[in-house]
This record gives sequence, structure tokens and C-alpha cells, in this order.
Amino acid sequence: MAFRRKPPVERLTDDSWIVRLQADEREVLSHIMNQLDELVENAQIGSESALVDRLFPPAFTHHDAQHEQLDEEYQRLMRDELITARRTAISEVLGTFDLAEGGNITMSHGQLTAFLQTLNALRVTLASALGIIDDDSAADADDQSDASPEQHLYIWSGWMLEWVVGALAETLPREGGTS
Amino acid sequence: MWNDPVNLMSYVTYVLQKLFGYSAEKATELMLAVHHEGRANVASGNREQCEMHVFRLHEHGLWATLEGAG
Repeated sequence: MAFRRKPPVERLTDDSWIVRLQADEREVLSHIMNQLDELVENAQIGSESALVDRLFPPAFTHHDAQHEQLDEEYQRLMRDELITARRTAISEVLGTFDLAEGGNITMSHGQLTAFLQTLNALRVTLASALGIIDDDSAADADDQSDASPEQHLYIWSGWMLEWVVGALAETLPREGGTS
Repeated sequence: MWNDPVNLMSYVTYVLQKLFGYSAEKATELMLAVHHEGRANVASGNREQCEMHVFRLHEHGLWATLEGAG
């Protein structure tokens, strides 16, 4: 019989979930999230790393000088807020890791949402590091044979993200429900 | 919103439901339109409202831009 782990994300109550991460998984994630935090902290306008370009995309399509000017204005007003939002989410997730009991981390809805956003930001950044630019390179990155550590983390983060999305999707208002 | 090869379909669908209150069916339809056509209009409003929509999509790691309706 194949060994089956408990699900990595499981709802406990209306506003609490267990996220199961072993010590080595928490250690790797903490390390990489701290690196992400440093990249995000330094992503001020004009100084951004290509690794985090996708986390701070343009808000206008740059068809012409007018759009370029509008985007500059948008970035000037919103960039710091986006940096703060990302760093707050990372910090919130790392805070829950500190309170892990065994392999179990209890998260509220807000903390699980921070985990969702941080996992996705991590995955998007890893995609840049791995040179994923289209569907073909994305398919190559999903191939586990001869995968690099970054590639394993990219694949793992996608797997975990599916679980977190599934858990949070259950909290969306039911369509046409009577309750 | 623009297509990218990284964000999971389930993730995009969930974010569209969460941010804009779309049904699963509507959010899936928009996600597939983005995936197959490269981009889709996912929300509308005045400029201030749309800037906030774009900000929240960026906050979730999705690439969205603003365009005038005219």
C-alpha cells in the first residue's frame, strides 16, 4: 500500500486551517521567502531586479508616450504600496512558521491568504529565474527529470498553491445558495 | 488582464471570483479567454476604480493594465 500523507491544507473551523509543512520544508521556504522579501524591498522604481519584474508590471500598455507618462504616474503613486503589501504578506507567513507545532501551522483566513499571495509571488519569481516565458518553457519546467533545486521548488510551490486555492475557494459565497 | 504561462488556472479563477464577486462559471470563462486570446477585459469602471482593480490584480501577481473605453 502506498504511503499517504494527510492533506497539506485542511480546514479546522470557519476561520482556521492547518497547513502541514515539515521542518525541512519550513526551513527552505523561510530562507527563500526572506530572499524574496529582500528583492521586493529593493524594488523601488528604477532599481528593480529582472527577477521581480513580473511582480511589478506596468499598469498601462506603453503604446505611446502618453501611456508611458500615465504608467510613470501610476508607479509613483502605487509602487510603495505594492512593496508594503508584499512585504506584509511575507512577514505574516513567516510569523506563522515561528508558531508551528510539529509539522502543523494554524492559519486564519487572512494568514492563509497571505500564504497564497506569497507562494504565488515566489512561484512567479522562480519562473523568471528559470527563464519561463511561454507555454513551452513552462512545460519544460514542469518536467521533474534532472530538475534543479529551483525547479523542484517551482513545481512544489505550484502543488502547494493548488491546495491553498482549493481551501480558500471553499470560503467564497455559494452561488444560488439558500443559507 | 494578460495571459502569462506561470499563474495556475485555478488560481486565476479564484482571484477573479474573490476580487470581483464573479460566479465560478463567469470567472472560468474570463480565465479561459485570457488563456486562449492572450488577454480579456475582466473589469470596468471609472479611472479611480480601475486603478484599484489593477492594483489588486498586481497584488495577486497577475498582469493587468488599464485602457480607456473610448
